[in-house]
Amino acid sequence: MKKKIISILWLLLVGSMMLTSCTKNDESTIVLIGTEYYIDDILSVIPDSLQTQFSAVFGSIPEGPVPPKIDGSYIMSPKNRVASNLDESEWPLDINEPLPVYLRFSNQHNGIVTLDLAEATETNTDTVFIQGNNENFTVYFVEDKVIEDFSVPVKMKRGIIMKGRVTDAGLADFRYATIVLETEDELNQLANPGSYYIYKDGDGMASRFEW
Amino acid sequence: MKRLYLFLLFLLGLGLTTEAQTYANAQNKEYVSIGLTGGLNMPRMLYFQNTALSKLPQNWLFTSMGGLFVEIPVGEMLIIAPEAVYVQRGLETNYEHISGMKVHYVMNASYADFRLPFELRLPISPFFQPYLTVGAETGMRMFGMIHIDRTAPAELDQTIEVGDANLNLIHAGVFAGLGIRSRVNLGNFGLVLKLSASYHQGLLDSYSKMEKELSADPMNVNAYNISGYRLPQGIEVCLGIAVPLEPKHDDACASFSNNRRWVKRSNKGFYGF
Repeated sequence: MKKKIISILWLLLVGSMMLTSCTKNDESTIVLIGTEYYIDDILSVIPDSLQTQFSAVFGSIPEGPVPPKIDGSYIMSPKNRVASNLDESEWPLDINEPLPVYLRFSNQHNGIVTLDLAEATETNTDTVFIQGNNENFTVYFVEDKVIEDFSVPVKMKRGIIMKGRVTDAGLADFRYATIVLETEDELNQLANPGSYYIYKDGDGMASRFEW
Repeated sequence: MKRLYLFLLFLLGLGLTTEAQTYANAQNKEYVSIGLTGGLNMPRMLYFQNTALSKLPQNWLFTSMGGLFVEIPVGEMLIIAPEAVYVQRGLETNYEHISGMKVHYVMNASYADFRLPFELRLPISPFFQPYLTVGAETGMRMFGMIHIDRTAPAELDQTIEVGDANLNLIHAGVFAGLGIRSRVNLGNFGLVLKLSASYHQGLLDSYSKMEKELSADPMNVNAYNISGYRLPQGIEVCLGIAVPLEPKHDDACASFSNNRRWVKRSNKGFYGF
């Protein structure tokens, strides 16, 4: 009798193993995404007072909860200034900044992505927000920045928005804007809150590269 | 002479007592039993080390389960009851994403489990034996589906089969619970009835290796980054029925008090001699 019982158990085990061969899907998944607690609204980056004026020069902002996959490293070169609300005599637009901007996106998930940003001697890593639809994306975040170049350090809180279209070659039509939100500037060296600059990649493509 | 009567009376009393004890022992003796079990399983998932997903509300899914088990008595109070069962695991959740999408997500996968429960019973009477069960289980994913439907702004209705890309093939876990065991004598044979409720906790991450390596193609997002662990859980309520494999013995003592021992019970002859 014990042999019969053991035989039945073995048959069940072998049968279940055979049933697993019925499984067909070995490529795709459906990922459960939660309600991340640190999701922020893009309006926190662009003050209400700037909405109309900023949109006119920056263009539409791609929206949507399913942005394209942006993971990878990109180089923005040349970095051209294209628009600003600052006095052009003091803050000229017609110069190309000499140094490229390096960007690396990783760990993208449910509206957030890790961004490594390197520009000149500065590097910064942060978890930033991403939204979009189809191939179009918007990345945005608020950054606290301390500038040590002066006799007294000055502080600035700025909002940054990046947008573009993900292609095999890189980020097409890549633009980014930096908006001054708050300052602590005893030396009056910084642009006033509400000021912004808009940059674009001079050749229209932030190309992929190995970081 | 008087002493002789007393001695004979003593022997008679001893004999009756012994017969009564032997009969009682024969009635209470536990044999290996084989039976069927079935019931309800209410599965869910524990998202461990994943704050965002652990906060999601989960609905109670009611799924069926069932299989075969064998009871092997070990001593008076302990029973080892290995079982092979079909069981469904997964979860269902309805929530609103920060973007305004109303999301409905269901994962329901069937497994073939092998379980090894240890049952510590309190033999109050043959009819009422509460027991505590603890044990380990291992299972293999067989088939199932994952479904998502969500509203605008990114409307989607998608169903895929479970497989290597989205669910670990092997399940392993532990469980514990309480039950009531009852042995019922129905004329010439007995039955064992069991009612139990147990809590099951998976110990092996149910995310697939492909998902962890980001090589599985996501159908509902363009990019994902899975963190933490997804551990199956479940509450099971089962009813079991088993037949003891009693040896056909001709123990005269065990059948001494059987009033029907003279009754012909089959064409194989008299029982009880």
